[in-house]
Amino acid sequence: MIRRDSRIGWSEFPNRQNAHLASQLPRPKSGGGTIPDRARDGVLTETTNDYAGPILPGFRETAWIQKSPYFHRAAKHGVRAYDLYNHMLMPGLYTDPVDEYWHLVNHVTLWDVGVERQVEIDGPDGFEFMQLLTPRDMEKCAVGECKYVLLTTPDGGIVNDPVLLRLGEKHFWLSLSDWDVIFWCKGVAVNAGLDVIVREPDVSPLQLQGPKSKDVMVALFGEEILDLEYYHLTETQLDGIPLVITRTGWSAERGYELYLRDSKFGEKLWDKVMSAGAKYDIRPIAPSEVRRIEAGILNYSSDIMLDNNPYEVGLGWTVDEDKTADYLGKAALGRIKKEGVKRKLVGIEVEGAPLGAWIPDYWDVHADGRKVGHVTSLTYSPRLEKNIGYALLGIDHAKIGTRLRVSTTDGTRGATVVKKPFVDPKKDIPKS
Amino acid sequence: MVIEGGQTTLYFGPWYRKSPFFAAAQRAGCYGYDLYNKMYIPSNFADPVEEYWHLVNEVTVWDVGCERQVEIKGPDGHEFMEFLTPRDLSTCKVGQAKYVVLTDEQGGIVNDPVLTRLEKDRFWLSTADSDVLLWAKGVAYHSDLDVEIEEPDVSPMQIQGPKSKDLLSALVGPRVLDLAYYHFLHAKIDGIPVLVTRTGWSAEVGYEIYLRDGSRGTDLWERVMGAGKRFHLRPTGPSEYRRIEAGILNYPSDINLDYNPYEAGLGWLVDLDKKHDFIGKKALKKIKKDGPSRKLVGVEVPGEEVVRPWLPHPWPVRKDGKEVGTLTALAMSPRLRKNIGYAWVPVRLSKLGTEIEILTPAGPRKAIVVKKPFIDPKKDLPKA
Repeated sequence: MIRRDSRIGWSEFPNRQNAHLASQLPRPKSGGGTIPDRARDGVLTETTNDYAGPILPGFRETAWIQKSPYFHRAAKHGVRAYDLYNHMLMPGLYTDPVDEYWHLVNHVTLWDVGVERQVEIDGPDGFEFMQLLTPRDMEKCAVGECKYVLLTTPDGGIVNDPVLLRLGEKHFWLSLSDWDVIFWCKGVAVNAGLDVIVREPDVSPLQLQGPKSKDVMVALFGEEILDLEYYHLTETQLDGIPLVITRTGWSAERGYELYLRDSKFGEKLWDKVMSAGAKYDIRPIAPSEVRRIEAGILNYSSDIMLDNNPYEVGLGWTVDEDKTADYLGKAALGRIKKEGVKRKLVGIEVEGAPLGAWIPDYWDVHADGRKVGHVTSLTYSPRLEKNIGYALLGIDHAKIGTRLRVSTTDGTRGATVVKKPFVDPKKDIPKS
Repeated sequence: MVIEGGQTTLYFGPWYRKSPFFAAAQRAGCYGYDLYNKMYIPSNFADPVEEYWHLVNEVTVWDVGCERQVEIKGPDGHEFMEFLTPRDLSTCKVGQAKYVVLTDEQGGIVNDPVLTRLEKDRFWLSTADSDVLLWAKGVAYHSDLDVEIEEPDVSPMQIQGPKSKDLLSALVGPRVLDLAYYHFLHAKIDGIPVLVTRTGWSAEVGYEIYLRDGSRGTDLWERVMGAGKRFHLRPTGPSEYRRIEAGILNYPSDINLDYNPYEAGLGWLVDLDKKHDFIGKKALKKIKKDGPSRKLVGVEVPGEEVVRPWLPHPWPVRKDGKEVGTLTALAMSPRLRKNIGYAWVPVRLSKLGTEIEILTPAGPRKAIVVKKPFIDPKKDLPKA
């Protein structure tokens, strides 16, 4: 008898023949996208643009890919594909992306985002060190506030775009997007001449997103939780489970993040949230690629990378030009601002039939018969009934209305540069 | 009853990078992938046991483009490299390679790359799974050293197994036979620029071919496969079985930032008396003086196979019913017919012969602390 030690999917001892089993997944009930019945012989399923998105079967669990404290609870709800983020597995798909999207937009959803690993900065010079790391001025961030910040290198490249939580005068958490920021921060600290502690605390976030998230929060924490303002935090507990709660999220819907401060309570917290949410039709879903692109939210390691600067990806607003404290990249960013950028991340609309929820490659973008950039993200929005996304383009082709050609896996399509975000540009929805 | 290591499905998204050999490896029948340094690594083309025997008896090729390189160069390149590692590089000549650890200020392990010294002040670090580029760039800030740190266009493949000498000889000529263990040479294979090192992750005779032009990945793969036909070359994944037999460690499962070189059995990579200062020196000095409080030991689990093909996540280690450590690797060696692996245990439980318990999802199993490596402790095989 073969026994699995985790509850996701199922396969015999994998060999070439039954590698297919890993991708024999149930078809989604809603019409928004399908996953192919089986992979081609021994090969990952190539994109054919008529299903959720390309899926790679045969991913082996190993001791070096970590799991969040919610992993088994989430798996019980039927995770069909994972994403890998910060050396950890994150549920990437439960039913299908369109179904999950509508639930997020209309109801309330729970996300296992334990992969948002934290870097904690503390110690006598914690404030000075935090100032050194980011172009955003921490003088303008009160204790109890959160800020979306960039960490930049001396040449202005973007290391990461975390949400910062100011827990104390000198005490911060950086809630990371994908990659090893702990090494960056520790490396900078080596010669910085500051007395600072840099470490990873035992913290595992959950996101509770969607219009009914406030009802679930009231059920869990009482009416006073409604006083928590957008991008603010509160330290609390739930029946002895230590938490930090923030009014933030990756959906641009009304939402909260629950930062669990002791991983041994993971399943208890998950169960409490799920049962409080039952009457509001709560569902575990994956972070919605569709919703975040509608909102103009960027994804580190596809839309932003180390060789991008804040100005070319439209994040110049996170660079406080009147910041007096020195920080990494200050001189370089001043120069880039003065000289202007050479390329720009723009919104695009791509013509033709609905594409999948995500793309397998950074497709090339052509204009005037030559390559002018590449697509960084692309999805089909069921609400707008359009294929929308972002492309990083040479500045000459970044004007709104510019006509483009995108080389998809199945031939080229026409596209146009458009304004982003695609919905709710003033973020009235999450602030409401 | 054998516990099956989990297998699942994964997003196939553009945010994981593909190596220059990706398409060729896929056409060659890769069906299972792992992710490493934010890149796909082909990990299965056939049954892992079958792949193991092919590695041990014949020759195999691995797409390890995910061993991302960090290049350190500039007038102070040597000095900066010395600052990054506790290993003394004054004896590392141009043309040599060294296994090194990089440590942080607390003595924790940042990475355990293979270093190649290309010039007096120019190095490549062939990295395990953690971002050394960010680490090194961070350290360079305020270091007052004139140094450039970049990721070069370099993608390694490994050629491992007893017949790898014949294959490399066919590819770059017989001079490769004079290449000593942990040394390298520059070469061109049909005009494709490469660097060949006598290194690898198998402890068999082996080489790594570092492709220096990412646009030639398929070309190189085809040349290698073509030349390898008569030596029964097969594409495989890195072998978990073989590396555990050899006592090779895997970052970040066996070692990571929480562990220091002494407790991991890598004290031989620390030279506290070296001329240059290095990050973590003070902490490591103290750790050496006080002695480590825990140790990474070899373990054997007597009886039938525990998990197949290998450990899907770390399992708890217990003694007298109390949790005392973590099992980080386990697989049944096809050659030794034994369940072998590594575990972190308190020093008091690290003596050879100590009985401990591992907690599997199917219940506890008895384990015994044993000597590692499990075979060829002097590395006579790869040096041959």
